[in-house]
Amino acid sequence: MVQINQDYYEDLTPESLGQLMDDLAAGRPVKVGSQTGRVSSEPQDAVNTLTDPTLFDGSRVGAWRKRFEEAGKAAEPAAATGEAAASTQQAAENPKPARPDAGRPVERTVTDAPAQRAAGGETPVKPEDRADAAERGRSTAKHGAARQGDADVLDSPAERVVEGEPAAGEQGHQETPARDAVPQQPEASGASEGEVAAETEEARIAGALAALPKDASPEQKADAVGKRPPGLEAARAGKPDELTRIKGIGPGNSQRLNGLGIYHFDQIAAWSRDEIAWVGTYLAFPGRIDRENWVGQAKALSAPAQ
Amino acid sequence: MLSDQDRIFTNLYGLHSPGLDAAKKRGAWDGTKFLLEQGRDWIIEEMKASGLRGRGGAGFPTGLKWSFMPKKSDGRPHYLVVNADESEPGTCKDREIMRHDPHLLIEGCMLACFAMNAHACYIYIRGEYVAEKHALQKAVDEAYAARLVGQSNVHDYPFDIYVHHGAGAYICGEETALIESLEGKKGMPRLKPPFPANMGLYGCPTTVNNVESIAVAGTILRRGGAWFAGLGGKNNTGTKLFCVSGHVNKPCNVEEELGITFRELIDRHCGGMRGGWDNLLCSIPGGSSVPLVPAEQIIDAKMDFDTLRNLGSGLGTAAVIVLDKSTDIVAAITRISYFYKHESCGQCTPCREGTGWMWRVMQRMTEGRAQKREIDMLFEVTKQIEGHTICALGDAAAWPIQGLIKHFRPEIEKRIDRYTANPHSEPVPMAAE
Repeated sequence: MVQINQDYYEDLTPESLGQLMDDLAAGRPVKVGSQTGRVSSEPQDAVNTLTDPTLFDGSRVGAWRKRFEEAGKAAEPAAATGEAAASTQQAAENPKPARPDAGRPVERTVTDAPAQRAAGGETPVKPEDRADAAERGRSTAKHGAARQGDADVLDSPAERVVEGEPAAGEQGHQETPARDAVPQQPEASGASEGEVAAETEEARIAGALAALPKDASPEQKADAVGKRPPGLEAARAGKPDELTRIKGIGPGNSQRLNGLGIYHFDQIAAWSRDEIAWVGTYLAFPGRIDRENWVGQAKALSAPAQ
Repeated sequence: MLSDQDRIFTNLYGLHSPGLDAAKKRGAWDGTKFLLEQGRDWIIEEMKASGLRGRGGAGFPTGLKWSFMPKKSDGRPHYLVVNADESEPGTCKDREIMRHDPHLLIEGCMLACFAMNAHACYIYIRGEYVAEKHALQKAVDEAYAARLVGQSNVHDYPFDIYVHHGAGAYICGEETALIESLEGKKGMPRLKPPFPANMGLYGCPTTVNNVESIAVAGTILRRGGAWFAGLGGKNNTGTKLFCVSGHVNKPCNVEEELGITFRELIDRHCGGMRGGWDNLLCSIPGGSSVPLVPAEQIIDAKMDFDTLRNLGSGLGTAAVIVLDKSTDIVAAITRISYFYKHESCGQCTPCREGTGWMWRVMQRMTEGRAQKREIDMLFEVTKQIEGHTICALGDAAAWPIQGLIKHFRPEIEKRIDRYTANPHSEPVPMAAE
């Protein structure tokens, strides 16, 4: 094929290309597109797909709604019994089925925990869980309304964290297949393995931070994404380690870490994932601890000292 | 074979009108408001359940990508950018969607924007696609006229859609380069992090998706993630547009289930291999940037992300380039090298210098005017380029050559032997370009 100005000429042979050029030079009208009678990208004279006329006459439009209607029927009896305040309220606020996938064989491993089921709008079996579910139901309904005008719904950090936890867990669950699924990426837009993991983590943190008010203190921000590492009252034997020996920790960060009660390499070496996220956010360098491998460096530095 | 009822792009071949009325009869814009009423979380959950992996080449799960967007706006607007800069040699699927089924794309844009709380969507079209731009713009105008999109529309979700025409640079298909280009700057990729989901277009949270990933969203949501997940195999779910080109009897585009075997794809849809199956030399299964796979490995391989990755290649954009034994494979890869040399943006040294260097060496190898030790040197240089650049263009330039050396080393050596066996006068040395 060739492109001449804005037009494409396809299915050319050396002869037909010569003919085409001659026609263009002489100002004769030419045929744009395929020169052999194809309409576009179909196999020539051998279209064996998309031949069903019902695809095109509109008779299949709306067929998909059936599954929503069935789901709606399944949801109705539950609402009618009124056994849980949550489901009635939800039904009142949202007449559409709350669980569009009800009754469909969806295989989701993550839905099989009570907390997940509650989040999905199912009525818990245990009565003590029901009270919990009532609150959940309300917050879900609130989310449904939120898209009209987001300004009126600003979750408190605590709520956000509660919601963020299962979400983060799920991301972790999703991430595992994704990580080994992303191949040696052959396209320009490809993301490498490390990037994917970093992106997952960073997105989780950014998601948690976005829910906080703008003037949140570093502690508040950090609390939303992780767990504060335990600190010491003062350096052991009054002699703090020289934290600046870790590449990435300068005098400023060293002071702020001391402020958290972090004085020694072995403290840094013992940080968990949550604690890394906390400190990263507190220092306003999310991801940097991983990138510069502070924990690994601290391990190496603390080893000979002991 | 995938049944017609399970095909998403029912007007792939343009045998019917791309207009709004015909598109509605084919099922586009059917109950979009109902889907929006199901809520943002439901949309994302369905997309995750569908297992849809990005169709632009990287294969990153689309639902997961959408969920990366901040749930609450911090004051900055969110954006959806649709990557219609389809420049990968061999790929011609997004073009057909924009020409023949544009309303599926526009509806998908609306659903995706709603799911990530964005009110504006930019579609960045490849510079060479002039007719496609007009076709898409026409469809967008139709949607505005029917108040399907716009500031006050029948879906009660203010949403604007802009068609932006690129200027024809391959690198602008890379998501951050595309964002730069959209902002009016030179199309040079940005360093990540920060990722676009935090800091994308105009410094605002942005998601960049391929046309096909977005265009399938409407149908997936209507028929359910479970339906989509039921097609194809585990981790490789759903249908995919395959663009088969090269030495087959009837090259074509076709929508098929992921996991169809190479042989079935060619026999059923493309009229078989030119000169029979014995004539197959190799195939480049995912657009020019993935390594080639020799005949005996590809012939019964499943066409999906994981199988091809295990063969040392990749599904990429599913642009299956078939090469038969009449091909001068070294010259073919040299031509691909030239393409990457031409398209390197010049930002990172390994790519800017390396792509040209590889092309010049490949040129000599095509003639056989090289030393055998240079084959190893070339391989080593490709390894030095791969992974040492901001974007994946360096990798894309390196992989085809690695694939060639891995599978067709004897062919290169044969040429070198043939060249050295004959007397030649030394070529006049020339300065490097």
